[in-house]
Amino acid sequence: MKRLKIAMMSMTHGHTRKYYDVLKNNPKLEWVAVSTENEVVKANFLNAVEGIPCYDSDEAMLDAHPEIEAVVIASDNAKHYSQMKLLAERKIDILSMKIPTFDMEEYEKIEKLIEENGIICQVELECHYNPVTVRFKEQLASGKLGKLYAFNARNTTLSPVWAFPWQGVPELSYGKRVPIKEGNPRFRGGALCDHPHIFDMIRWIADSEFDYVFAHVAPNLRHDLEEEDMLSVVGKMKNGVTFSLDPSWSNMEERIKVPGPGWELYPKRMEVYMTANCENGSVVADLFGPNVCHNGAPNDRYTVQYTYFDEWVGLIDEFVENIRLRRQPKINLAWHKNTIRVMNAVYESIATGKPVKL
Amino acid sequence: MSILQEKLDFLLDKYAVANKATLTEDGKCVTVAGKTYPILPWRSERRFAELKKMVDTKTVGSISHFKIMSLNPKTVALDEVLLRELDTAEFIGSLAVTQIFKAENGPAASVICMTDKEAVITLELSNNLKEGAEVIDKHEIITDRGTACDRAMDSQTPLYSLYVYGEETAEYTDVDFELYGLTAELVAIVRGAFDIAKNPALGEENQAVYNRLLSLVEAASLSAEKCENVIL
Repeated sequence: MKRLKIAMMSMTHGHTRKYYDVLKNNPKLEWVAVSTENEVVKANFLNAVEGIPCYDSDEAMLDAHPEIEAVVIASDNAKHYSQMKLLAERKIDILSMKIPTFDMEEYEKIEKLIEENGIICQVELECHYNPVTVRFKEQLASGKLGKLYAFNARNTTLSPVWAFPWQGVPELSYGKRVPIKEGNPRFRGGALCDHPHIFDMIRWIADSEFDYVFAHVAPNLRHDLEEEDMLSVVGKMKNGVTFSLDPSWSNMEERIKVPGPGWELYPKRMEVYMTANCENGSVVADLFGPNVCHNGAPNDRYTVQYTYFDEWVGLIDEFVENIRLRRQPKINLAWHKNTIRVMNAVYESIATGKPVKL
Repeated sequence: MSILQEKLDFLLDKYAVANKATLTEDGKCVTVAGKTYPILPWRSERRFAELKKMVDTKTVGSISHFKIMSLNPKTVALDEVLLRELDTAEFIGSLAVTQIFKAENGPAASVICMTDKEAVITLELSNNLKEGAEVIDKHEIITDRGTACDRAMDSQTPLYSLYVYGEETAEYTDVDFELYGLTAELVAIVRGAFDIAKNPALGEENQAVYNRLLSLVEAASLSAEKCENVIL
C-alpha cells in the first residue's frame, strides 16, 4: 500500500505527543510536515522531534506541501471548524480530535463540508483500539454473563490546563462562555469536554442510544479554575441499561508546563475503568492496568505508571485503511453526533437540575 | 447458639458489661434491656472507622465527590445495599443527603445524591453475584486535598491479608484478634452489637439513623419510578 502523506496542525492539543511515535514509525505513513500555532508549541515540537518541517501557519504548510493527503488536527476545539473547512476545500482527509465541536449547528456544517467534498473525517476515540476493551466486549458477547443491566465507567485524569491552557478557557474548549448553572461561578468547558470516551463506549457496549441523563457538578478541586473539574452522570439507555459515568479531572497534578515525569500529585495520571453488571455476574476492567509503580525521581512520591500506550497504533492503521479504501470510519461524524448531543445534555441537566430526555 | 452470639457473649463477659445482648437471627439487630435496635454493622468496620478519621481530622480536605461501587450476591436486596451505602457515605463524610436520583434496571442501580455540603455522592450498586459471593466494593473520597480510599490506589477490587498458593489457592482477611475466625463483615456485627450493649443510647441513635435511611431509600424508589430528582 502506498504510504500516506500526513501532516499535523496546531500542535496545541494534549494528544499531540501521542502521535509522534506512530507518525514516525508506522510504515504506512510518511510524515510530511507540521504547522504550529505559537512559539511555545513550536519549541516543544522542535525539542521532541527532528527532521519534520515546521511551519507557522496552516496555509503556509499546505501551500508548501501540496502532496499532503491527510491531516491530524491537533488544535483547541474552537479552531476545528475553520481548519476542517480549510482542509475540506483542498480535499484533504481529516483525523479530528475527540470533540469536533459542541455547537450542533456548526457540527452539521462540518458534516456538510465533509460530504460535499467527498473526504474522510475520522474522530479520534482511541479507547476502541485498546486490547482490554476488546476483551471486555468479548466477555459480554460470549453470553456467559447473561443480559447486560448496567454499565458504569470512569474516565478520570489530571487536569491538562496548565500544560494545554486552551482547555481552561471556556470559549476555546466549549466554544462559548456558558455559566454551568445559576449561582455557580464556573463555566462549561472543563472535565466533561475532555472526556467523551465513556459516553461513546456505552453506546457500543449497550448497543443502544441514550434515553435520559441526570448529572450533578461537584465542588471544584482546583478552586482557581473557571470551568468544572468534578461531575457525575447517571441515567438510562433506551433499552433500559442504566449507567453511571464519571468524566472528572479528579486526579490532581503538579502545575507543570510540559507534561513529563513528576506531573502526578495523585499517584496516577489517568484511570479508565469500566464495569458491566449482568444477569449472572459482572466484568470489572482497568483499560490501562496492570501498572508499574515507583517512588523515585523527580518528587520521590508514590507514582503509578500505566504500561499501555499503543492505542494510536490501531487508530492510525484504521485511519490509513479508511482513506485508501474510501471507507467510513468506525467513529465517523454521523455516529459521533449522539455522543456530543449527550454531553450537551449533561450540561443542560446540571443547569436545570432535572433529567434530560434525549 | 450461633457463633456470632458466642463471640458477643465472650466480649460481654471479658469486659464485664452489665447488659445482656441478644442478636437477632439475621444479625441485623440486637436486643438490649428488652429493646431491639438496628446494629448498622458497617459503621464498626475498621476501614470505615479509619476513613472517617481521615475526614474528621482533616487529613484529607473538603469532600467534592464520594464514589461508591458495591457488587453484591443475589441474596441481598438492592434496597438493603442502597441503605447501607447511603449511610456509609453520610457517616464517613459527615454529609446529609438533600437530593436523590436513582436509575434502576433489574439487579442494578445508579444513584446520585447532592448533600448539605454540596459534595456529590455516586452509588454504583448491583445484586447480581452468585449466592455466597463476597461483596466487591470500593469507597473513594475525593477531596480538594487528596483522595482517601479503602482500596489500593491502583485497584478497584479488594486485596487480602493472606494468600495461600498450594494445591488449592485461598485468600483470607483477618481483622480482629479477639474475634479471630470471623470475616470482617461478621466481626462488624459483633462489634456493633457489643457497642450498643455497652451504651444503649447508641442503639437509640442507630434507630433514628435507620428510620431516616428508610426514608432516603423510599425517596430513591420514588425518583426511579417518576424519573425525577427528589429534593428532600
